[in-house]
Parts: sequence; C-alpha cells; structure tokens
Amino acid sequence: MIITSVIIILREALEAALIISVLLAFSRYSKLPITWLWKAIALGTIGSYLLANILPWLSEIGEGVAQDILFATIHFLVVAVLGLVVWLWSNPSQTHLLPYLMLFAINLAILREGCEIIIYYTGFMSNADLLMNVSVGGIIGLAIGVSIGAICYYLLLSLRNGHFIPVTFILLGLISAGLVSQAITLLYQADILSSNGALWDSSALIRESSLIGQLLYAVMGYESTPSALQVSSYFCIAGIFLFLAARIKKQPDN
Amino acid sequence: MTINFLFKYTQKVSSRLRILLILTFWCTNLSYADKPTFEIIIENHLFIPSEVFVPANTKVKLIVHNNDPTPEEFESYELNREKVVMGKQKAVIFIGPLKPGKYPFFGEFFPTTAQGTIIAVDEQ
Repeated sequence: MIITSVIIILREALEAALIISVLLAFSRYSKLPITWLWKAIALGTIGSYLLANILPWLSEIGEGVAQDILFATIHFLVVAVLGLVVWLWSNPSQTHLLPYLMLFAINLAILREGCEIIIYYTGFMSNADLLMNVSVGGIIGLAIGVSIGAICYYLLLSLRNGHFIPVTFILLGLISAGLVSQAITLLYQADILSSNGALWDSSALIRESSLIGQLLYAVMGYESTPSALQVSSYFCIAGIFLFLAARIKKQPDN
Repeated sequence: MTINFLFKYTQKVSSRLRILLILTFWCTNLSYADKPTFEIIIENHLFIPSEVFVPANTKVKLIVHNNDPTPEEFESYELNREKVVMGKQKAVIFIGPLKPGKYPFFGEFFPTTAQGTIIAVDEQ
C-alpha cells in the first residue's frame, strides 16, 4: 500500500512541481516577486478540496463526460496562460501582469493533480491503519516530487544568462504541448473527438510505465501510441513557443 | 434555393477556413450512434470480468461500475486512458479504434489486485 501511494502522489506531484519550478526560476530570473507561489498553493489546495467534493456530482452528468471536459478545459487554460506568460515577458510594460498569470497557471495545475490525490485519500478515511500507511507513502512521494522540482529549479538558475530564456521557453513549450496532448486524450475518452488510431507505437523503445517513460510524460507528455491529431497539435504548440523563444533571442538586451 | 445559397456562401468562405471546417467535422463525432458497449464491474478492488473481448478497428464504449464504496481510477498506458470512478458510481470511457491485440488496464488506487485486459479481436 505504501509503495502504491508513493507512486500515485509522486506522479501527480511531479507534473505540478515541474511547472512550478520552471515558473519560479522564470520569476527569479526576471526579478519578479515570488509571493504568488504561496497564494497559488493555498488557492490550489482549497480548490482541489472543493473540486474533489463536487466530482461525485459532476461525474453523474452526461455519463461522466463532464468530468473529462472539465479536466481538458483546465489543461487548455494552463497552456493558454503559459503562452500569455511567454508572450508578455518580452513586453516590459506588461510584466506587472506576469505574477498574476503565474498564480493562475499554478493554481490550475495544482487543482487538477490535487483533486486526484484528495479523492484517492477519501477511500481510506474509514480505515485508520491504512490511512496511516498511505499518508506516509504520500509524504514520501510528495518529498521526492518537490526534490525533483528543486533540482530542476537550481539547474535552470545555474544556466548562463544567454541560455536561460531559450531553455525555459522550450521547457514551457514541451510542458504545454504535453498538456494539450493529454487534453485531446480526455476528449477522445469522452467521445467528443474521434481518434483514427495510433500513428506509431514506441512502447518497445520506451514503455510509458517505466521510470523514464513517467519522467518524459511529466516533462513533455510522452505517449507511446499517440494519434495523428495529438502529434500535429504537439508540434504546433511546441513550435509556437519555439518561435517566441527565437523572437526574444534576437532582441539585444532586455 | 437554400442549396444554391449555401453553395454561394461556402464559395465565399476562404479556403483556409474550409479546410479547418472539414478537419473539424472529420475529427468531431457529433452523431452519438450506437457503439458496441461493454460493462466492467469493480468489486473488492477487482475488475469483473478481468478479460474483456472487444471488436478491433472500431470505437467501443466501456461502462465501468464501481460497486466498492472507495473511489478507483481506471487507468491504462496502452489505451492512453485515465478516469476516476467514484465509489458506488459508474464512468463511461470510450476507447479505440484498436488494432487487434492485448491492452492491459489497472486500477491506479489498488493496482495490486485491480488488473485486467482488453482484448481487441478481428470480427470476421
């Protein structure tokens, strides 16, 4: 039970931790205040709790399709906000908006992952022994997730000045492209979009269930059997972020 | 009359928009036509049946009934599916079209016991 809870919490925490670490490094680099982080974590936690309580009711609507649509919308919103962050960064008159946008993005990222964690724990509320076990597992999982986020944060900040912005933008682009790909899967699941089957199968190369597969999933939304729509939208989103990164590189000093 | 008007109107629509429209219709499936439906029950953290045979190369509707009081998450790396099924509730998950083969799935919250396989078979 402990191992299961470590894995579940780690998987959820890792996705949020990566976005947080990139945006936090981004704030530090741009000399922006970082108080948004605590607000985002607090709001995200409260939001997760509320969402976890609404979900039983929500999953009764439209045979549970509402649940998929809501989560897909959250993904699309995070991507839109990350895109705005990257877009506004190069515009000095708008930088005061960035902390709010980052707060919103992190809030949403925590909302989705946190909601699943809370639902997982509700299953153990009536059993004190099991609850103890899964709580210990959860703390370990969370600690590993936060540590990986911290490593990512310090690695980013240790980059040379000229490299920081391109690397961060590319990372944000990969995360966003992965989120869009996940959102498309949710819409397939709800039968709102139709898949034409997998474009390729790379499971022999990297299994999604493997450690590397899980890490790649968190960083860039790795899927071993993506559809054509997922692949094309992936490159489209990653391309937009790359374009924005290239545009900024050309500017002399910011 | 109407068809003539529509024809003229669509000609006015720029070619890019037309491509976008075609793509949208190609991707969306607004006709909720009857799809082959299969039901899976979660009980005592087990999937019943643990092997589900579905037709290959077509979209399939799975209904997962959770008879346990605890929530479960239906998850499959091979199917790229992930959905929370609250206690005493059901969830609908569309999968496919799948190539013939085996697609393992599991309950993320109780993975040691909740294991199953979707087996896609060619229907002759």
